[in-house]
Amino acid sequence: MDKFTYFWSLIIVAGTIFLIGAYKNVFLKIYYIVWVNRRVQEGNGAIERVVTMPEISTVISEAMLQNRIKNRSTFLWSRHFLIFSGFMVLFFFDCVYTVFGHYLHHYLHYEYFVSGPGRACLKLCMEFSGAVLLLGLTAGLIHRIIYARQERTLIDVKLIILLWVVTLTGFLTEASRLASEPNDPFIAYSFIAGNLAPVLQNMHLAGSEAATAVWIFHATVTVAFFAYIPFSKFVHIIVAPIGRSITQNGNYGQMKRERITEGLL
Amino acid sequence: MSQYGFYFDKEKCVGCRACEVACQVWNDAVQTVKWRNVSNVIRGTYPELTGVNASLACMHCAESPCKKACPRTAISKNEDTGRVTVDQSRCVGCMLCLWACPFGAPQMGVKGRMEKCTFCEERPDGKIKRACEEICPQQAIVSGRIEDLILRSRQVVAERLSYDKQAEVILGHEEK
Amino acid sequence: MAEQMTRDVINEIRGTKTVPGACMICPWHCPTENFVRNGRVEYVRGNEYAANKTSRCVKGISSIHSSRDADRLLYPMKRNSQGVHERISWDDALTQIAERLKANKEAYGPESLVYLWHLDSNEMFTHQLFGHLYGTPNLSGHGAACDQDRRLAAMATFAHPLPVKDYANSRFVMLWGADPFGPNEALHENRELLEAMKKGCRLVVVDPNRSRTAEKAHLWLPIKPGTDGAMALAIAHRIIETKSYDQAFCDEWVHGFDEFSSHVLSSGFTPEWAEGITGISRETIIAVADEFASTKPALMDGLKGLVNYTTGLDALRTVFALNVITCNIDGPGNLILKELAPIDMPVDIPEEAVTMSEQLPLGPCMGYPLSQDLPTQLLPKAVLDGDPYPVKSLFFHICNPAQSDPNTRLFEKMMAAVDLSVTIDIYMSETALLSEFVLPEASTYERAEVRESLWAGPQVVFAQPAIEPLGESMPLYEIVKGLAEKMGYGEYFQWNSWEDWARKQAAFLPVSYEELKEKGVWEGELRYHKYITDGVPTPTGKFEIYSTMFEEMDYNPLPVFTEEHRVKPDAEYPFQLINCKMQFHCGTHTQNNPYLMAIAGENWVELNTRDALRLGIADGDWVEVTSPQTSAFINARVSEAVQPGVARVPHGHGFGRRFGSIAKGKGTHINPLFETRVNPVSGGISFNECKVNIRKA
Repeated sequence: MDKFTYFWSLIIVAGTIFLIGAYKNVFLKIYYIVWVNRRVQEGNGAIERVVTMPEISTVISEAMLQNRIKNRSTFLWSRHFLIFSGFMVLFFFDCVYTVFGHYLHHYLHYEYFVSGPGRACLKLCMEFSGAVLLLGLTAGLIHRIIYARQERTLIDVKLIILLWVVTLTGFLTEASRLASEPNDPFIAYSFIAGNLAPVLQNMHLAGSEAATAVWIFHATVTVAFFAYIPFSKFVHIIVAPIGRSITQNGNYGQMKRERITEGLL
Repeated sequence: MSQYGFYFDKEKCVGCRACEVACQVWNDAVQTVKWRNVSNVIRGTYPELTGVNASLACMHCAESPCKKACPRTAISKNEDTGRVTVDQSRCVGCMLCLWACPFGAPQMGVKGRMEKCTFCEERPDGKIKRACEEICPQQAIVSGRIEDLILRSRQVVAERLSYDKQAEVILGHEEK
Repeated sequence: MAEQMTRDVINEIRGTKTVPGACMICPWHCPTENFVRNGRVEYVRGNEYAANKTSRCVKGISSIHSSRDADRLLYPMKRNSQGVHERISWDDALTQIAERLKANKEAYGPESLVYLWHLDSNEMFTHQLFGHLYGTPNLSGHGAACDQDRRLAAMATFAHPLPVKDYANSRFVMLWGADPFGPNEALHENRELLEAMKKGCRLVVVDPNRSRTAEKAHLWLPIKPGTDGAMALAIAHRIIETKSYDQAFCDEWVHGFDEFSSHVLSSGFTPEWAEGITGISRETIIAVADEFASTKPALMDGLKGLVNYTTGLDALRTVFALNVITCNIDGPGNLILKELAPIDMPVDIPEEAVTMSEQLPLGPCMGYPLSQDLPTQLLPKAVLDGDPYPVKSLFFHICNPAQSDPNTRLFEKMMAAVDLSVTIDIYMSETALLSEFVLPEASTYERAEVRESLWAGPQVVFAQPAIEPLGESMPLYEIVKGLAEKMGYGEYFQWNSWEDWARKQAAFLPVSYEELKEKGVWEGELRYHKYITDGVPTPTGKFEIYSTMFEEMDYNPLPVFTEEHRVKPDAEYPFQLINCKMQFHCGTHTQNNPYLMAIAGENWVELNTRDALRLGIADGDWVEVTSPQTSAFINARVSEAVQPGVARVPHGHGFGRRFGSIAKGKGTHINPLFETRVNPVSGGISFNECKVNIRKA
């Protein structure tokens, strides 16, 4: 079968698994929490709603900048921020690439991201964000294996290895493609994969079959990773920004306790 | 199966916070992460004022919202004692439990995981008091099996000689 | 099978050992239990065998920190010529101090030594060394900054300095300017009061501000500051007029009833008169008087809210008189004239070795013959002017007047001028910083003590060392032993271990030494109506509401209400500054505690919402508080709990301590705002006689 057919079949299967997980572990939970808070508020007869939409500054501080981790340790924060920003930016550009750089031009006469300067931009940005992500993950992996004995559990190391492999194989995929297509007009913009390509050539891993094999491997682990998100600690990607933005808004816990106390008056 | 919980008498609490510190000392905690918190509320205009103090920690609820809210099923309720605890190795610190809890009980620990009152898990239930309970000079906190606490509450209310006012509230428990 | 004590259960769980102790945070010295493992105190709580059971106040439980506090004094120090404290050895320190004491005694007499304590742990040792052997009459607690007026009023009325309370059996309790639930110090009393209230006991609280105790009261009387004496006299008026006093009891046990009643009736102390002064309606005063007189057993008491004004002494005399004339004294549910346990002195000083100065203590010599504790504001005069006699040596034991007394500048000037100053403390307090010698005492976790505690009946606490002293710190008894050696009195302070003198002190108790050591506390029988069998130790043998003690010293033997010495707000300074205690701190020695500082790290000035609005001050703003003395910058809070026209400030904060990593720089020191206003009879410092102006900073 064609590699794209394989890819989209994988997406459908993994997507279903992801959606089931997201429904069970995220949507239902949040729905329940909103229901419980409304019920407690009404039951108490309290006038003010404690659970309000968080302020923008809280959302930025918690969800975007993760200031809370910085209070704990600058090293842990910078490591996490590398992973977070690398991942978010890379995922964004991946989507842009898929839509604008791969499919759209079949339907619209829009070559900007296919053969125009847009593609160079995409290549550069994806490499850069991928590198940031890989740097953060590598730091995390080393730290976990060597230093943080008490933090390390089997699950934690397995998960970080999984994401590390996903990222690394991304670079390898691009590198092996460039190894088999050395005349790619945008090769200069793939500043990492482009320099990795000759290494692969020397290892006799050039050639379109090798490239396809690596592509399929990368696609598989990436999709597996996404499917696994709701069932693992990676679920924090979805729930932590929401949970932390809401609960770190003002003196949240204190406000809830005061509401209960007021009910005792 | 005995559901253990807390009984709190608002008429006795003077808001001194000894319970907060006893919990921290017993559990060797950090001062900024308080598993038990005392709130004071005062309403009205001088001199027509009313006020109350409440000491709140995890109520080890029968239908624990935190347990139901956790996307990692990191929170569990013990079958024998009703004790609700957080499994630190499963927690990711998303804080959904705090969002769910009506008492604001779960706290973010220094390791980035959520933590809260463990009902003094090392202390044998029914045999000795919890740390907060034993330190309270006014004995405003009483721990025990919910059935016993309900009986106690009814008895205290019945003993009141002045006008009938609902003085004790059993929180975290749904009367069927 | 004996029931297992819960301390044993905890020991099983944590692998600890229980060592009984005594808390050192406030003067109640509650019996405690310390749980120790591997030389570290792991957990603390109250003593299960004691009246307070396993309970502990927030300051007490937090005090576990002082057993590990790196900021504690760890070695003796002496101030060098540049004014910096340098480490010296114990031997050098004690030798030099002994030499200087000897020289001062020879040149100026033993009365030139003034020794002040506040928390009187192991103080019997210094009494014997400095009082009996060295011979100074100037050994004193710091009651002048605390409850001086109450002590004197109680001595005059009951010949007992410190009545306590039997709330458990009360049916009516009236507290004047007293907030027991705030600082939460008398643990068993507070528990008993709340339990009594559950059974129908009525609580009336008189306080300008809504204190924690006012919150629990059935009736809160928001009186104008400093006017309680007027209301007390009006209540007396009502009771006498309606003859609702106990005639039989007054006939048999009260001296001066006729003089008292005709004085009250003829001086116009009516409820109408009181209404105009206090702001409490005539009807309310009458109703309270009637309820008090007709509900038995009852008790009335007052503390800081009275003594902080110059009207406090007479107000308390009236309050105590009210207890007396309604036969509410030393019975179940009344004020209790606490009986002491027969604790022996730790060492024996033979008669021939005892020396006494010919001079009286400073208080009586400086115009305060009835002062119970040395009025410390008098010290600078004695030191700087040598009047009435020279004071050359000052000792401070866990006492910090540099921080807690008014008129800080004068105190600093005195400390710079005095010949010898020694502070014995566990922290480098402000007073220690000003002292020449600083001696590190071992904390309550590291020393032994056999002492009386403050339960209503006889109560002995036997505290034992839980861990080794930190650094080179030493318990006071070892410091006294070493100093006595250098002073030539070593023969009287001989022991191999603290158990030697502890055994002696406990010898007369009706409990074996082993049992006392094991439990850490002994409580005797709470006897009521002791006056029937033991008599009343006043000159007349009765409770005196006409004070012969006052009469003898040419003071008015009957209480009046006069605002002669009051400092009241005026146009320029429109607020009455009321000094209060922060619930989570005690004095000036808990501010280096992380638990307590996490609850309340700084103090503030509290204003009523209306006043704040008028001045444009919001909650959390910084304000400047100015008194005729000086001004201070402090954070403001806005609340409805404070009476309009009143600014309430918790004391104890505001340090520039060298050693105190947590305390340093936190809060505002408000004491410079106060001038030294005292009650002219008792010499007690009336901190609230202070008017201030407040504006946004």
